[in-house]
Amino acid sequence: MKTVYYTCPFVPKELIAACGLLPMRSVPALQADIRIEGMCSYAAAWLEELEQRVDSGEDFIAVFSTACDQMRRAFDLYHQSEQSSFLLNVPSMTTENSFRYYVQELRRLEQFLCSISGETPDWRRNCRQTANKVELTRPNKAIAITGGPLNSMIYKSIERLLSEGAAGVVFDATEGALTPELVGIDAAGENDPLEAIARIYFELPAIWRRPNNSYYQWMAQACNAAGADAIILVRHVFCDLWHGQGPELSKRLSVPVLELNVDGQGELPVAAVSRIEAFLEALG
Amino acid sequence: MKMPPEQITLEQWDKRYPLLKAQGLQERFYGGPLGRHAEYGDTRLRSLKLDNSPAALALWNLLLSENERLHRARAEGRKIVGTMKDLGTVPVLADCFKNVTAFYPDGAWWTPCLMEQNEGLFESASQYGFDESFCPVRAMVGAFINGEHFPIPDALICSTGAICDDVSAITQKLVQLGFAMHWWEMPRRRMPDEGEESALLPCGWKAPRVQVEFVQAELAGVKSVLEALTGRQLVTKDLRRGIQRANGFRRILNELRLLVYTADPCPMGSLEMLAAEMLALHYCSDYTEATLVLEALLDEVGERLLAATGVLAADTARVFWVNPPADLRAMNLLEECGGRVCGTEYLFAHTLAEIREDIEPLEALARTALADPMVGSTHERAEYICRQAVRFGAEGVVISRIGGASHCAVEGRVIGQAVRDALEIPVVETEIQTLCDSADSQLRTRLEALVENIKQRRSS
Ligand code: SF4
Ligand code: SF4
Repeated sequence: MKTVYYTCPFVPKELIAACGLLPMRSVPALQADIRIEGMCSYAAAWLEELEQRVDSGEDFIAVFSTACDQMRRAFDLYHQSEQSSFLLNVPSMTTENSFRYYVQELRRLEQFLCSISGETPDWRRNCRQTANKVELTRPNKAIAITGGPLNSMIYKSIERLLSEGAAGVVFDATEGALTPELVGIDAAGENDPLEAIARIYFELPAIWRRPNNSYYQWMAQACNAAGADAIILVRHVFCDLWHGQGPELSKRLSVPVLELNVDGQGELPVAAVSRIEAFLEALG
Repeated sequence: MKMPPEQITLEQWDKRYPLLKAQGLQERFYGGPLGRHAEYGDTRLRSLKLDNSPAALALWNLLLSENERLHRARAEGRKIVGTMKDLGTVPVLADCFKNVTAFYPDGAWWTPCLMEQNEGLFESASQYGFDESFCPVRAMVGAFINGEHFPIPDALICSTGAICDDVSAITQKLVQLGFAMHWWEMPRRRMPDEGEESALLPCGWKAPRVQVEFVQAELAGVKSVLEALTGRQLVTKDLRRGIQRANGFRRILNELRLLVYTADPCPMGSLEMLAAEMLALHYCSDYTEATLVLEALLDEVGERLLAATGVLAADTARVFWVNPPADLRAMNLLEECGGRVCGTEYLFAHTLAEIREDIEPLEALARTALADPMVGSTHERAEYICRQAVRFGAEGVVISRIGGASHCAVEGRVIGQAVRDALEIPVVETEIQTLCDSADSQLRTRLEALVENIKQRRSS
C-alpha cells in the first residue's frame, strides 16, 4: 500500500484511507540549514524530507495544501519532481461558498488518489487514529503550546525545559497537531461520506483563516478547560502568518505569551532555551 | 519652446517649471512645481532623474497628490473604498458607482521610499510585530494607525486565499485593530484537469470553469457590499460601462508600453513607465485625470518617435524587469549603467489585459481576477515572463527581489531558471532595498555586469 504524506490538518486522513492508501502526517525534522533564504523553515524542512524519500527510491504521494503562500510556493518547487503530488485548495474563509469549494477539492483529491490506488472509495476502511489526547495531571505551571508545526525533537526539548521549571504542556495546538474529533462519526453510514467528513474538517481552527476568530475562540475554550497559565507561541522564521499574533493571544486570553522563533534547525535554538527558562522564572 | 527630451533632477525641474508656466503651461487642479512634494516630505524625488516633459510633470503631480485628492473626495461627500491585494479588479467594480472613490491602501508600500523613511511607518509597523521579515507593505499598518497619509476608508475590501502571506497577516491585524474588512476568497488558480470544463483567461492562461464560477460568486458579494455602502443597485449596464472604461484605459496604456518598450532610442524613462503602469491599478483614484495624463504621455512619446529622439542613447541594452523595485531609484540606476527597460511584469499583468466585453460582466471580472500572476503557479508566471521577454526583444532580465515578501524566495529561483533555460539570456536576481543607497555600489556593479554581458553577447 502506498503512503500518502501530508502536513496540513485539512487533508482528511479518512479520505486517504478510504481510497486504499496509507495516510501519514509528516512532521519533518530538519537536519540541514534553511535551504532558501526567505522560505519558511518548516516548508523548507518538508521539501527536504520529501527529497530524501525520493532519493531513497521510495514510491509515495505528497499532498500539499494552499493554506499559506509559503506552502503553495513549496509545492511549485516540489512539483518539478516526477513524484506524484497534489495541491489541495483549502479556502481561507468559512462561508458556504468556500465550503462548497472545499468539498469540490476533496472530490478531486479522492479521484486523484483512487486513480493511483486503482480502488474505489470505501469509507469502511479504517485509518489509524493517532491518539493525540493524553490524560495529564495538571502541572504546577500549565503551559499551552501553539504556533507553527513542531518536530518531535523540538517538542521534547520544550517539554524537558518545562519540567525542569516545574511546568508542563497541557495541550499542543501547534499547526497540524489539531485534528478533528471524529469519534462517534460513522462516515460510511452517511449519504455522502465525503461531505460529512468535509464538514467536520472545515470547522478546524487555523491561524490563516480569514477572519481567524474561530482560532482564538477555540484557544480560549481550550485554555479555560485546561487551566493554562501561559502560552508558548512557536514561530518559524519567515512565517508571516504567526508573526505578530502574540499580542493578540495575550490580549484575548489574558495569559502571558512567550513568542519563540525556531530557525529550521532540528534542535531548539540556544536563545530559545534561555528565553523559556526566563519565562518560567517570571511566571513564578 | 519645446526642450529636447532629457532626464533631469528635481532642482532642474524647479528651474524649468516657471519657464514652462511663462510659456503658458496649462495644468489641472493638482498641478504645480514638483519641488513642493519634496518639501512636504517626498524627499526621494531629490535623488531621482525625471523626464523633462509637461506630460511627465502631470504624471508625477497626479501620483504624488493622491492622498490630498482622497481627502478632498471625502470632503465632497464621496465614499472612500480601500481595496486591497487583488490589484486592479475591485476598482473596476467600484468605478461603476458614481459617488465612490477607490484606492489601494497597500500602495503605502511606496511611502517609506518616497519619504526616505522619515515618516516612521516601518517603525510603527514594528511595534505591531511587522518587522523587516515583511515586505514594504507593512508600511500600511503605520498609515492606518497614524491616519496621516490616506483617509481611513468608509469600507475595506480585501481578497484572501491565494494571496501573499504578508498582506494576509497584516490585514488580519488591521481587523484586530478595529478596522472592519470585507474579505473575498481567491482560490489558487490551477490548470483544468483532463476533460474538465475550462475557461480562457487574460494573459493566455486557463482555469477550470468551477473556479471562474466561484470567483464570480465572490465578486457578487463585493458588489453587494458596494451597493449597501452607496445605497445604489448596480445593473448590468453600469457594469458593462465600467468594464468599457477600464478597457479604454488599458488600451492607451498598452499602446504606450508597446511604443516605449520597442522604440529605439528609448522615448521615455523606466521610472515614468513604472508610474504609468501603476495608474492601471485604480486610476490613481481619478479615472478622468489618469486618462488625461496617459493620453498626454502617449502624445509626448509619439512626438519623440517622429523626431527620432529619446531620453537614452540608441542601442542601449534591453532589459526585462520583474517585480516592482522597492526603491524607485533602481530604475534610474539601470539606465545610468547603460541599460533600459524593454518590458515589465510588476506583479499585475492581469491589470494590463483587456477585460472581456462579450460575456456576463461579473464573469468577465472573475476571469480577469483569476489571471493575476500571483494566484497561479510560479511556473506559469515564469512562462509568461519568458513569453513577454521574447515579445519585447529582451537581452537580459532583472528579477528584483522584494525583501520579506512571502513569494520571492521561490519565485526568483524558478523564474531565473526558466529564463536561462528557455531564452538563454543573462539574469540578475537581486534584492532591492527601500533605500538602495547603502547597497548602491553593489547593485550598480551587478547591473553594469549585466549590461556588459549583454553587449559582449551582441558582439560575439
Ligand atoms: S509555519 Fe507558517 S509559513 Fe510555514 S507552513 Fe506553517 S503557516 Fe505556512
Ligand atoms: S510585494 Fe509581494 S509580499 Fe509584498 S504586498 Fe506585494 S505581493 Fe504581497
